[in-house]
Amino acid sequence: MSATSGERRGAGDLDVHVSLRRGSFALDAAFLALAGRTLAIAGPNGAGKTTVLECIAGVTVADTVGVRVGERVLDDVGTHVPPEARRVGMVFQEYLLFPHLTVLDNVAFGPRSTGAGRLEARERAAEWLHRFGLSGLSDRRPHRLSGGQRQRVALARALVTEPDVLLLDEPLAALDVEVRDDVRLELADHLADFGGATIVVTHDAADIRTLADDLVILERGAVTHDGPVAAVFDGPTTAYARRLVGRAGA
Amino acid sequence: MPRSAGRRSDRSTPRLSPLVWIAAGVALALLVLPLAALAVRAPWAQLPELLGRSEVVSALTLSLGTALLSTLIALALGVPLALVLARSAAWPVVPRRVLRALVTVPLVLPPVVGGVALLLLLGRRGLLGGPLEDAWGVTIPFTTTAVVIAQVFVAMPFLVLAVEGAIRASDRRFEQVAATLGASRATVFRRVTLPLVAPGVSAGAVLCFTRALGEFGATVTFAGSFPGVTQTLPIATYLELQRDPQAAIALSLVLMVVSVVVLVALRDRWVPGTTA
Repeated sequence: MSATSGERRGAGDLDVHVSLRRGSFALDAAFLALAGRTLAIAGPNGAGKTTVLECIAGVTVADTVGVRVGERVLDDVGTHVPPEARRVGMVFQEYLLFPHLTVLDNVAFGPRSTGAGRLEARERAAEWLHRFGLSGLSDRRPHRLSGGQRQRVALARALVTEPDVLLLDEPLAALDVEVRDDVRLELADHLADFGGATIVVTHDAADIRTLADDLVILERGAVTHDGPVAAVFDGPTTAYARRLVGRAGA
Repeated sequence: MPRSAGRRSDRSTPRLSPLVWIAAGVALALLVLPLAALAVRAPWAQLPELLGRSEVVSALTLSLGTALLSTLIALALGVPLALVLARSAAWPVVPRRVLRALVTVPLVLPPVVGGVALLLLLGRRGLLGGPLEDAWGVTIPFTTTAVVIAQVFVAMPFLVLAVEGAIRASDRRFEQVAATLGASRATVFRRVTLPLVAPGVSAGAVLCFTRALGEFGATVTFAGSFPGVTQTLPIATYLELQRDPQAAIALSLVLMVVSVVVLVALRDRWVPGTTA
């Protein structure tokens, strides 16, 4: 899993190195996310998890960023592919569905923006809504959806563009606790169908167990753990990691 | 201080002092009574005849036409200025404050001074007006064009500040979402930024239109008062007051009704849910 293992990199693997300094906050993190697998990034608040995702999505520019998907360079010295051309899908915290568009047009936004005609974009959106069991909600505005429905729409909106990489920033944190388990299981199903590399930011051990294959723990801007979930859970070495794993005494 | 401790318990229903109520009542009377007087003393019976007069019709047409045109120009130029102003939050302090001050000055400037300033710039001997006339024979002052320029000068800042406020209040992450979905900058602006600030834009346009409709000082100074060309409704009203007070009252009624109708109609239709 080490970031230097470039020679093992497959076509869809995401290789990330982010380094930046904002006032007293410093972030320096490198890791590899493999295609067809889900990598969880966990860490205390303010560790820089969201910033890492924003750098991968290209909406934040770090001091030095190296981001590649397979052989495709998204960021390097002198290179910055803008977010709209990166083929990196992101589900933001609180989902951020466009409040002025219906569910169907939210999902159709990506295809429409990348050159599909109105009809074709809506067709593709309808197909994804159907796949996500949301067909009945096409004409609704986002404010009339439940939290779980919003999350599925946000996921469909990101996936309809067929991104190479999928990023999810705390995809369950905005949900009521009662529905969280169901939505999490459903999310795991959808992620299993996605062929590219997936990164989920979370600080919930249940999310990691259900959704992730690999785990990176980020603390105060640095990677403290990196490996398959089982391996990290077996040998947590920091106080935060021990608390996350639920072995306070270990 | 046991007494004040006891009083603190009715904090949930704070009681205003009678003095506050009296002052508030006087303030409201000051706002409402003049308008009531206008309605009471209006020559209702003669109204159709007074409003049918050709000079009234031409003043009304001129006013609505110029105010509409001013609002469209203010929209075309003011929305981009509002965007720059909103983004200037990231600039160094000095240019940021200078820009904001430049936009705000026409708001606090007496309109007459605006009219004088416009004459000095665009008048026949003005900084730009002189060369303009020499080169192309174009004269601006005392034309309908001058009316529109005066209205834009006075009214556009209202629109700029309203739109800028809406832009700053809107969540920029929606633009980031749109970008990750593959939308170009132009698409993001057209399909996300603009619709999200639309309530602010329409509120700004309404303010701008009503301000332009009521413009007097800058217009009369820079454009004069030629019937049918530059004599807008407020100017016609003022002049009629000397000649034919009944006509002036009728004109005032028209201005009042147009303003209120525009405000109410546009607020309900296009500005739902915005804070009053």
